[in-house]
Amino acid sequence: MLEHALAELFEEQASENPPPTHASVIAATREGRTRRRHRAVISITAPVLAAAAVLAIALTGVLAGPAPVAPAQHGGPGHALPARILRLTAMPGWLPSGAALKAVVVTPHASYLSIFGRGGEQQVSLYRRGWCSLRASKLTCPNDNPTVTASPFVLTLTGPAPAIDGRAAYWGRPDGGTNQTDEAFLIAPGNWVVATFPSRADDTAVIQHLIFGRTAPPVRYLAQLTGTWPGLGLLYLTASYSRGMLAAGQWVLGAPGFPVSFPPVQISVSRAVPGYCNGATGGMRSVINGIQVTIWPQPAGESHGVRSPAGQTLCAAAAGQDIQIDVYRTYPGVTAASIFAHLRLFGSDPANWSTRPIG
Amino acid sequence: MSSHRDAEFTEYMSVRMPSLRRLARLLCQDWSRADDLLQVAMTKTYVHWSRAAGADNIDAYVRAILVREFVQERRTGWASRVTLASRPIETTAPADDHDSALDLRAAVAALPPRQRAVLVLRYYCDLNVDQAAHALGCTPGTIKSQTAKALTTLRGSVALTDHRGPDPARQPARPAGHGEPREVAGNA
Repeated sequence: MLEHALAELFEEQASENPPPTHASVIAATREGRTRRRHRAVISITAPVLAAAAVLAIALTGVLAGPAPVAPAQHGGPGHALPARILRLTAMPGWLPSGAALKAVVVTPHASYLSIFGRGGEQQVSLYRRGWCSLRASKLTCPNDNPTVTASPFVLTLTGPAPAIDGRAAYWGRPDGGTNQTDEAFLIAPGNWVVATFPSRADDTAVIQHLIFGRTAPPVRYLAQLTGTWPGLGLLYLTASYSRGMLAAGQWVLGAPGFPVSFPPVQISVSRAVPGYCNGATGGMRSVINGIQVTIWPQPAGESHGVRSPAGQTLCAAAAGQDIQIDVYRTYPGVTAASIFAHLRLFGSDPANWSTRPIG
Repeated sequence: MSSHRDAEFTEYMSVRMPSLRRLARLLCQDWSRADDLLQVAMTKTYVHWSRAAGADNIDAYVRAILVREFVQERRTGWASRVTLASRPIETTAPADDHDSALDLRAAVAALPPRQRAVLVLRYYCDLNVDQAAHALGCTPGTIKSQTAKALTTLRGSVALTDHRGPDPARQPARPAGHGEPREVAGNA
């Protein structure tokens, strides 16, 4: 009888007149694309880095690195902006057995570490001073990570945790979450670290051993934008980590304040995969700096209340790399082709990669 | 490069979204969280679309993504969050709920996520033990034990046969596991 009542209850609930949804197929597509590229950064770039590290020992002093591929033919089309250098703010000094830092997302206000181990992916989020606010046991951190969301991260502090190195620490639960908990730690007044390991002991140990300061290696870019546009600076980057090297496989240019879901320019570079650019339909082929590229429009659309701006995507394969450039909205003088024309490609040898995204 | 993939995905989701949303609502017992769950599940489906599109039963594949995401859901600092356009409009509860139904609603909502997922798969999606195990990625024995635990919990917390006795008018028209197929159907 209980089973019957359950079936009836579920039917009744499923037949309720639902409220308007805020889920969106368009948003899922955009987010899915970004995640696929992020996965590509992790799965493709990391082996390159690993192999390169081994090769570097064997070949040092024997082979000189090749000249950069496809240098820009013109200067930048606009006034130079200060090229923001985003740095990872801390490195793990200890991780659970079998776990390793694999990727990071770095924004002006936060660093997000992806750590993979036996329990899958875990995150350690480091928020810079002043970015989060604490009111009435609710910790609110505005989002500036376009890879995941436009909504702020809100954590309800549920109680005190043992202090770490004399600093206050708290257990917390993210709003909208399940009965599982995340842990929030106040590392210094105004600075917050949130860790999500299944074990609270691991959370504590990982955070206790974080090494802050300029201990993280600089991010190395697989390509460099040689032209600059007014108001177009580095917003955030996604990088893989392997053998002591951070390699940016995706970085986004825009101006602070742009809707994080649709930044003006997104550049993705990864190791070449056969046929990466072959699937596009309706694309226009052309040659830029001696490299064949395909450009196709991304029409504006709207689905379930989310407006997707018009844009264009460029795809090219050169120097053992696949390059994809997404330009999501009209921006003065910026097209996928103009960005590519001012992109210096460094090839697959990490020795040639630059620490500056804009040269 | 991705136009064909996007078109296929959009076409599929445009058709299936309502039924997936209802399933998410049953799992979450809340439309707002259901939309969050659905958004995450759709994104994961997009990421794995080539595998989903090649599955024997794409509906079962997508349903498994949704249910597993619900069970494993961890609202972490950043990885689980999604892009949302606006906040949802809350809906009012049906006006004709009986006390027992309200009790059952509350009891179901209070179940641990995995147990609730098992009940939804068994008694809403009409999956047998093996199919539910496949959807959740666990053993049939786990499904049996989780079902038993959930039903025991519900029996303990719901006065379905209280001092007034059962109301014949509340008896379901059909037993679970039979009748018309659900919208999100298919063998796992």
